[in-house]
Amino acid sequence: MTTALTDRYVHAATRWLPGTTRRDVEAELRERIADTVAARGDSPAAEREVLEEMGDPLLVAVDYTGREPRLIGPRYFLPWLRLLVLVVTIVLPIVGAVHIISGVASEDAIVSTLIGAVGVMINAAIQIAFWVTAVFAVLDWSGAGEGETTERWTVDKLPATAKPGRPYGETIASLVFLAVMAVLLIGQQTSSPIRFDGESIPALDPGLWAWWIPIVLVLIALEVVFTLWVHVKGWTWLAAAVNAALGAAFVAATLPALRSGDFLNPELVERLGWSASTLDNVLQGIIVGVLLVTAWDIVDGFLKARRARA
Amino acid sequence: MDDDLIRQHLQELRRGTVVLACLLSLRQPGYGYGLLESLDTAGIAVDANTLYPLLRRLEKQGLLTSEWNTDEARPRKFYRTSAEGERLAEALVTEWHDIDTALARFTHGGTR
Repeated sequence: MTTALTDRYVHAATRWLPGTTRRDVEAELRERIADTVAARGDSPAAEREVLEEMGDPLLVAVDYTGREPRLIGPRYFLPWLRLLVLVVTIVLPIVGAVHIISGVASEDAIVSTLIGAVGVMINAAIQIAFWVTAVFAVLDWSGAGEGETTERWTVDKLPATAKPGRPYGETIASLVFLAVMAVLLIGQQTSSPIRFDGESIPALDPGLWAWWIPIVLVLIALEVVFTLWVHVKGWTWLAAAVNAALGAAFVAATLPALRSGDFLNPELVERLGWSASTLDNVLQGIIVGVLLVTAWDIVDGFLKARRARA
Repeated sequence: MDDDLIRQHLQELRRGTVVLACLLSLRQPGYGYGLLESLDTAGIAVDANTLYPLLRRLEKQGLLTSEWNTDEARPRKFYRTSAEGERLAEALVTEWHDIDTALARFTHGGTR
């Protein structure tokens, strides 16, 4: 004897199943429930007990059809995770940097620009996570690539060394440093923190906008790409050579600017009350600093490449 | 030792044998509840929540065939071991004996 309770249970268990499977599972469940209830005395109490022992109807349907209730299964989990992390780590810094640069260029307050950048990055992260997940969920549910392993692993896929890519900390530090440099470079002009009598004075010669600052911004953008590349591929001799080329390009662009004497904002120099010889000394100091830092960076690149190969 | 732990490992050890028991028992056609009872009588305890889905799975794999019997008041799905199921049962029985022999060396003859 089974009642409306059984009907409701069977309906709840089979309502999401496709047509033929649905009728089949429905009949099997009815048989199972009727047999078990009959064996237990055929009472409403027995029916209740049996249904409760069978448990959540949705899980029963899962058991009967063998289709696990999951969004992305083991087949696609790792490719999904890898792609998600890769896209997020590449896109977010770019989105954030673009927002900051355009915000600074449009002379918004730096704080609101930074807050806005965080918001834009969170938005981008949510969008990326949703779309990447949606694509993989469709792949998984449509059964694409069923039965074949998506990524057959061979020893060739082992990283060349124990740690080819740079640790995340180093990469993130580099990216943050580059972003800060770009922001400072633009910000010193549009909303300089250097103030005299409440008046904001740019630190660098505004004439540098004509050539030096754009060049350095392009170099910073290239450095961002380079940093991500090294993060994925690790330090190689080629990476060290590119690093050296970038460093040399920076020096080649910067030295003429420094030696021409038109580097610092003349107005600032005047306000500081520096004499011509003081200015000269400061510029000399900056030249020496730039050369030392760049030289070290180039050497460091080659040292890292050698260590990575060892 | 933790009772739950023991139960968990016993269950794991038995899991594969339920398939074998079904294949052997269903050489005579049988339906879900009947099989559950005969396995129980034979001393092979299996949960209904495990057995019914298992029968479906074995049928999908071609190891069992099924037929709805509507002669009686309640329609019942009768399962029967297929030729392929017979072959698998044979292989499983052989394996079972091999494992038993192998384990006997440890249990009777010390640790080597």
